[in-house]
Amino acid sequence: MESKKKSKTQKAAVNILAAYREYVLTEGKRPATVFKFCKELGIAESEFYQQYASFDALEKSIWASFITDTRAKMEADDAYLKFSAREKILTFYFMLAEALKADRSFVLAQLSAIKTPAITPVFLRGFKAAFEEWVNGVLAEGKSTGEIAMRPYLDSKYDSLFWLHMMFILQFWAHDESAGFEKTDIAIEKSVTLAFDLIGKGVLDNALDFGKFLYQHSKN
Amino acid sequence: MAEIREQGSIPVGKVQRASKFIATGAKIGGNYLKHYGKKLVNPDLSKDELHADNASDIYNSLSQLKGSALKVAQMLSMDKNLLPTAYQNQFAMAQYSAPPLSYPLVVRTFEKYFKKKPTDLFDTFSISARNAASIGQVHEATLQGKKLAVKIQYPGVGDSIKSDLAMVKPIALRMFKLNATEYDEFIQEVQARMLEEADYTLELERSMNLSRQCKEIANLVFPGYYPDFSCEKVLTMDWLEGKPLGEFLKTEKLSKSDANRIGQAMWDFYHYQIHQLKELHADPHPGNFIITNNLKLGIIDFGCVKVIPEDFYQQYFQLLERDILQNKTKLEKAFYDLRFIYPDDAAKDKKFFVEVFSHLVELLGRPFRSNEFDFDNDAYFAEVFKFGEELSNMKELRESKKARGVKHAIYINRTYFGLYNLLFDLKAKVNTTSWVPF
Repeated sequence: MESKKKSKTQKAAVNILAAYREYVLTEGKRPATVFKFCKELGIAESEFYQQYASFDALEKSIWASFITDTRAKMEADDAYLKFSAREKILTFYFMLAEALKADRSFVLAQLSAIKTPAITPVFLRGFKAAFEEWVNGVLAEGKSTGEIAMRPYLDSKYDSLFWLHMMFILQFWAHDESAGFEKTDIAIEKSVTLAFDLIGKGVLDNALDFGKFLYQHSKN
Repeated sequence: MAEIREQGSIPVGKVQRASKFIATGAKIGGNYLKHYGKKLVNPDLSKDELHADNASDIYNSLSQLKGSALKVAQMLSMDKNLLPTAYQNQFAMAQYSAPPLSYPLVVRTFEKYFKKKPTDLFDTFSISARNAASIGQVHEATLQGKKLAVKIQYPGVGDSIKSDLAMVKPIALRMFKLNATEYDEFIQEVQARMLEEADYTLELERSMNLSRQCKEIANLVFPGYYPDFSCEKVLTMDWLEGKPLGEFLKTEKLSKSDANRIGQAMWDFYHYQIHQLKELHADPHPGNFIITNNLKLGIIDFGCVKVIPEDFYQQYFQLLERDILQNKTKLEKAFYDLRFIYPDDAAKDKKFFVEVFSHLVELLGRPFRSNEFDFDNDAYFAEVFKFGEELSNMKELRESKKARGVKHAIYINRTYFGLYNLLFDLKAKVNTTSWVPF
């Protein structure tokens, strides 16, 4: 009884999401009110509010599911567990690009509404939280295997750096006009390689080390 | 902050690649300064050291660019047999040292074209690449007990070819001492071949076609191809057990009779294609041949195939006619046909070029003027390289405003250059009359 009820509400949620997407894409804007939207869909307003507090919440949920679905799909594959942090992040981006492709019109419509890139828009907040949670897990693993260098103060900021990187990929993909979004694939491959060159042990550590030395020297 | 720098560093744009080449140019300039600086102190200093410096700088820069630029480097180094040996060594290595594609991107490519992961398509699939080719990499797979080689192309190769070629121009003009007219002809032909090479569907078709037609030739082995596991970016064939020719010759010793047998197979392979099929595998690079465990010659990589147009065939191979060097009118006609000389050349120029090219024809055609030729002949190759060096220093040739030679000859010359070199490395003695109708 319990499970049957649950599956019914899930189905309702899927219907609402699909109807909302369709509305936004055909009308080019949000429905004027939840009331109007529900009336056209033929459901009671209370059914809507049972799932989502507002259109903002609904959009947040659509975006967050891009991350959670991709993650679930990816983690279901045994081979994934054996990957290095770099390979995990690459796989994630490639799969996300594929998932976004199925919803490209909706995604582009939403992205084009971003006016000030410095502020994370409301609809991306759940997406961001889900992404940072996932990427932190991968980064922690990378640190434990030594793939990612420990750097006091700096390494706790890596998740925000990867978030900026994610936004870059998203924007690159949005403007990509190559067949099959091949150029996005290249951008992902090259930028992740570079990112891991930077956060792996190497030149940067030596530069920091030298900088520290010079700083201490200047104080004496 | 760091993120912005990261974004800027992705070498997707022309500007990035351009700056790479400019950096190379600057470095080469530096090498020349270094050379002449040392020469002031020590006038006996050979140019070898300078060439070696330059070659490795160009090579370092090009190998980071991967893809087409790397191929141009190989092409230039092989086509112009006038290149100093130092360059050739560097570029021969190029085949093996491009940085690999990540496994997730390999998976991505498979999912795009076959809607499946490589591990779903094959029983096993190696996560890391076994070999790198200049525009792709090779993974090892097994299917129903059969070992397969799966070649995967770097994404975006086709797109970057044209912009890369445009970038190579200034370096090429300076380093390889080509004049602009010659370069444009050259690059047109090279670009056409390279765009073909980026199309694995075409390669599959040609591989299957040429290997079927050549299968009767003794001592050759061709891998089988798998159209179901191939697409424009992926090419699947049997894995040939053995070693690449270059590596084999470094680590193992061939008996004289085996060397002759393998050399003969190679000779027959090329001449059957040239004279019977009129299209050929035009990439005789040591990495494209496998010496199998039972000492046969395995042929992989039909990426670069040159189709010989009939009229060009007539023009070019008249140079192999036995009396060509004695018959002045015949020789001159051949030179006009092949645009070694032009009707409006000044008499002095004409005389000069006829002399130079007669020498070239005599030298390079020598193996054809006896029934048998032993390529284990240091004196002969020293003569060839010495003449090559002379050619590269001939200012008449360099400064000629006209392209000397026709574009179809580029890949044929390159094939012969590669073939002679391989036969020299093999130290093979071959019967040169087989399949040659002259």
